[in-house]
Amino acid sequence: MVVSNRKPSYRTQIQTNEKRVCVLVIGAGISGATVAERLSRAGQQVYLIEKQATIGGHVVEMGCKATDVCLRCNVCVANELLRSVVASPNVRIHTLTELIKLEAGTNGSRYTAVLKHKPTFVDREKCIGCQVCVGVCPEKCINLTGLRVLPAVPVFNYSLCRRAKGKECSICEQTCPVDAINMQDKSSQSQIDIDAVVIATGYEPYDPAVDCSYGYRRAANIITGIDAERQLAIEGEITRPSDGKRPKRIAFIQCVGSRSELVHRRPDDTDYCSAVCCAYALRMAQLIKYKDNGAELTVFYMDIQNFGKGFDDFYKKCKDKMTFIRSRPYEIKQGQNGTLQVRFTPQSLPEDKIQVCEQEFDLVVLAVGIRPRPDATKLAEALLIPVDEQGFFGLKDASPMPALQREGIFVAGACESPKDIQSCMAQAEAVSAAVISEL
Amino acid sequence: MIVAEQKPIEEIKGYLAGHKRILVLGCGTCVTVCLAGGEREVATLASILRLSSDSEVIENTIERQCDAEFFDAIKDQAASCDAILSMACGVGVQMVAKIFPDKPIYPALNTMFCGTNDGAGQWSENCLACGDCKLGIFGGVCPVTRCSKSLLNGPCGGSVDGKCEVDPENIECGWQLIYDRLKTLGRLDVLLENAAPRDWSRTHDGGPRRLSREDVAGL
Amino acid sequence: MIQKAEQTNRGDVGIVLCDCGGTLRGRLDFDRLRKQLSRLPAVATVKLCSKFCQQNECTKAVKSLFRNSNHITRLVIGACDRGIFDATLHETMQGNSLGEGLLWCVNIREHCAWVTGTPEVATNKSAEVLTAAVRRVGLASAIESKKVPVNQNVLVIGGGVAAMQTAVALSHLGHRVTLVEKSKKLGGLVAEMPELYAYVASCSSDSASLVQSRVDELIKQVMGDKHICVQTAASLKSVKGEFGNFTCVIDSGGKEQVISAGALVLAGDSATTKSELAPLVHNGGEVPKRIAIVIDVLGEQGRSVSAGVLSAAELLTKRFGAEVKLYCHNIRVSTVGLEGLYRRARQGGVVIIKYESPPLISEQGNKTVVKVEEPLVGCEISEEFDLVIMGDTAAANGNNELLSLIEGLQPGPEETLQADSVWLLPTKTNREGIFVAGLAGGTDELRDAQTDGLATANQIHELLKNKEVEILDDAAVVDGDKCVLCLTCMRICPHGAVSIDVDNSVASISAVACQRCGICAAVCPAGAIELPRYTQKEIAAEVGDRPQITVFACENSAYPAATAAATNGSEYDAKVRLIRVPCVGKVDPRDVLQALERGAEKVIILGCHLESCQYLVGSTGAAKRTERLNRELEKAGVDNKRVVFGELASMEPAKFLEYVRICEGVKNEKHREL
Repeated sequence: MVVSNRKPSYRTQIQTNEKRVCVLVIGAGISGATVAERLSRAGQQVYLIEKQATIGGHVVEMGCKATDVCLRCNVCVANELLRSVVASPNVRIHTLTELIKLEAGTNGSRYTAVLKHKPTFVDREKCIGCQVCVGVCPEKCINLTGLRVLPAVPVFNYSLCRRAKGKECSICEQTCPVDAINMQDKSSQSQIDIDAVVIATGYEPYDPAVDCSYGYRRAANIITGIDAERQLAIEGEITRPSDGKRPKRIAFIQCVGSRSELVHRRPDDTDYCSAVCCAYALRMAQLIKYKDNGAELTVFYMDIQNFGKGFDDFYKKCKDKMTFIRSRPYEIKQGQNGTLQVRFTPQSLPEDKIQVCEQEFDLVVLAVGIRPRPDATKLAEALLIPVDEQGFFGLKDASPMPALQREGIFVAGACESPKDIQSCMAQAEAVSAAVISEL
Repeated sequence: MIVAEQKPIEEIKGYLAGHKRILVLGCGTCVTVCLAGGEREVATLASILRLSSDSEVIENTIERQCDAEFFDAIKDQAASCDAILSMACGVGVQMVAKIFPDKPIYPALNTMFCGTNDGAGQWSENCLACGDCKLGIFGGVCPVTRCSKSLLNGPCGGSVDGKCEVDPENIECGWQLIYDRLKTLGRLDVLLENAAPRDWSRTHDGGPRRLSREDVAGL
Repeated sequence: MIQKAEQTNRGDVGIVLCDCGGTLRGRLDFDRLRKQLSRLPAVATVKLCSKFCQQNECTKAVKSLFRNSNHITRLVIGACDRGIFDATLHETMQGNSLGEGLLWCVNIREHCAWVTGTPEVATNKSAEVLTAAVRRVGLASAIESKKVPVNQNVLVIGGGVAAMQTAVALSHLGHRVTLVEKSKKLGGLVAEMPELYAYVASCSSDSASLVQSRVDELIKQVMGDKHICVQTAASLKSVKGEFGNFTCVIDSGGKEQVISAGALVLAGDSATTKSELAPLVHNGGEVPKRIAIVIDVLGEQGRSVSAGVLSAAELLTKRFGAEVKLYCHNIRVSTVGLEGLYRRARQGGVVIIKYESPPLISEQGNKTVVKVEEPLVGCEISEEFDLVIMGDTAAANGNNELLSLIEGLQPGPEETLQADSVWLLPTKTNREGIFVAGLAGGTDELRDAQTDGLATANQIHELLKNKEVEILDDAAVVDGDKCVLCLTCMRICPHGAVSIDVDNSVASISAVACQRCGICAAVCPAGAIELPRYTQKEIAAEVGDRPQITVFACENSAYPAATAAATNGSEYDAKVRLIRVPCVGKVDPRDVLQALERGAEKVIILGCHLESCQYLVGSTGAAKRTERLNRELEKAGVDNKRVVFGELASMEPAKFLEYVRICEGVKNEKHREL
């Protein structure tokens, strides 16, 4: 008998009297995927649903930050987990699927979940990732994203499809060698009997275009940390949007969308720190400096948050390579040739004078924070679970799991509170334990 | 254990220049343990020699090169070569020369010292086979090897913070170690007695030393 | 000795080739492949299949293979990335008598067809790679599986929230737990000073009571659980054994007790912190009027220190009316509720001064003076205080003891008990079966420490849920005849899986602790260690007689990066052959030299970034060995640019391409737009 060659060498230890139960995991980002993978290893049946067309959440747009040393960003660990979850035997993945409601269970299960499926047009169980459909579509409406996870199941942009305009076309269906494409796919609903629900819907990055004075999307060469991550991951370097050149003078502005009353969604929301921005900004800064030693980096910050082991040494290295200015810039003005004037009040005010400083940069990176998703409140209402003062799921106290006030419902990841990849995976692991012991 | 290290490859190549067929012979005892002349090192060196010259290079490793009996297995191979590169310690190299008097024999290693392993990949000397071991009165730390001046009755003035003035960064003062050890044992009184000069006749001097067990020799 | 690639002449290899639903037909000449491979004396039959990843197709193909020929004892699969059909293949092979280890998969899609420009060249490459696989599988040995009895009990060291949560979670999962705490009481640091976690609720006094009740609840659960045996005033004296079978001795009030366990959790504390704050906070009476708290002097402090000093500062100000100034470099607020506490403390009158360089503290009479370069005002300010508290956490020496008790446990920075590798997170250590939780692993926050406990329980349960653990008997093996007991493997093994079998005078590798990385095999000076599936002979057979560009690709980084490069639409020279290894630490200089002797123009060794090697030291070892080899080659006059070591991660296909294209000298980007 051949057993898969994957780690660990231990086979999945199946317990002989294992009770097979079903768990719904909402969200296939790193947290949901980790819960699903661990539950699958424990022999539980998992429905992993994801609102987007691809799985992996935000982490699939992040790349390795290693300079001459590994910077412990954990993206490689996340990637390996995503590869594992797709291959997990007990996990059924449904993309473009949302939970509409959770009703009391019939058939002996605790709940019945009503799911809404948008058409994916491709059956991911059948898809072999051959990419042939991508090439044959005459309107180029079939694309590949989320290439970290194999097979690379294509995503259909139906609005571009000829059929959406009333014309006939079935080239992709005919070309697909495994009949995985069905252009008749329509929105549908389904019901599944489940015994537990794990909410892992993740976060929304703060969008500085909405209510911030920094001029994002109005001035060129102001990008967010997310934009920077994406570019670094795909292209391996960061360039100025205006002319595609490598920026020499780069400013990182921390706490954009965090630690401020100005960004509250609801009047009663309170401030919080997004926990991940100092880490990601400084790692990216180190990587940029490593690739271009001539780059001049300045970090505008309030308090640098520490993260993980070896932070002291990491921070020292950062202080050697970049300038830290303790200040929250209040304005960014567009200069000539796409340069940016960052205006701030520095901490030291000699001679008892209010002083306004201005520095010019080629590129400004706004280190945006983590916010609860806009649909989080809706989901909370649908599931009758509370949200905390910042809009994240669950009321926090001194225990590791937030109070959700409902049996069999758990929450994991950044939708519970801002956290980085390793903390998401740790919490997902903890939630798995809770789910298994409850069942 | 005998600790040896591989000679610079240029020197080895210098010896082997002009030979057409070479046997690289490893030893499976001390030099394997100190990662200098075992099967792996033999394979690696032979490979490099083949890549960098036109000579034919064959390889083998025997249990030990300090005993004649182990050479039977490679007699034919040796006969077919016009030079043998021994990857054993100096003792082994000489034995090879004795067994194959008609072949040029070259050493691949520099035999360094008798020593101990301080951790994977690191060795240090701590015995030079003086033949008159008095470790009992020195708390188990040898003043002959561990003291840079081989003093037998206390440290010199150059012992500072437990370091030897010869190389304060790398060498600990042997006498500090002796003192500390005897203190732990509660036997500092031992140091109050003068240690007599060693019996130099037992140390290497004036020809190779010999040893004999009369109940086994000559049976 | 150059190991000639051996050809098995037994006609016992069956091959299945998949044309990926027919989509590879345009890129590979399957008829030619079938003909060429069938002619190999070792091959019994070649079957073509169209959708190997689909259950019925896979089963059909394999069944027909065995139906056609009774002699087939080995299997080669030529298809796409193994991850895609792995589960299907597993299902198919249930009930098949083919021995484990006698199957080898070749990626002819992502690693041949997709990355090679012309069909003819792609077919040549596929044929060669499949032929190499036939040679390789001919030298493989069957791998048995075996069951190892394990102890399902767990020993938890510590008595704080992390330890208690671990114990409770494990008990809920069905394990018996022994909890060993060195002090007389349970509750740890949190129980001592619940007031110092004032961020847990939006009101500080609520926080203290929430924390207190949580600790009380945990203590109640632990004490009331008949599956948890609590030993206070007890400490660990010795640890022997390995995962599944640890034998530990604890000293409980002078009496020694032996405890057997399948797993260990180190959940004690490591810090001596807040002890200066505690008496102050608990003291109802004399509280000095002016108090300074200074942190970040010994190094940047963490969230727990910020939380503690803010809680204390707020409390001292509000409850005792003291004037408190907090001197720090950075305030940490990255935990839920901590920002709120920060705000409350300042609103309550705590003054926070953020300095660039630590203040100077001196005694002047009965007052203490704190002098600091005050950033907002821009000059030096000296202030007198009745009491100055240094709030930093000093790394304690408490962990050193545990480190010396547990052989082979690699510590992390700041004396934590978890080595600094992302692959160990959240709570593993380098030794199988030994876990950390809470401060011992560097987790300094109250809730996170408990999360650690739950996560650890989950991981332990996964391993120990049955009385036996079923494993493949594919751990590295030591040949007793060759082993000289040099102890190198024992010292090098990053998982402490090697011990000395004194009776048989041989190094012995544990079947349960070995992680199958192969690092020991690559360093053994006597060539006495082999890793099943990656023996010297098998690798030599795969490298072949005429290697061109041999790439030893770590299966955790380079191999998936190569697959990603293919999925992205990149192409590279068909001379490149990927030799998959479990870790680059397995790559033997002898393998490299052999490839060179056989004419390889380049040997590229690609592994993980040094600090993120899944086996901790594998990548570093490979880097050092390559460096040494290149030095020797250079001195010997051999072109040493032929051997290259590179680091990359699994999602860096661009780096992979950079390395394999150094041979082309031309940047040949043909990315499909995504």
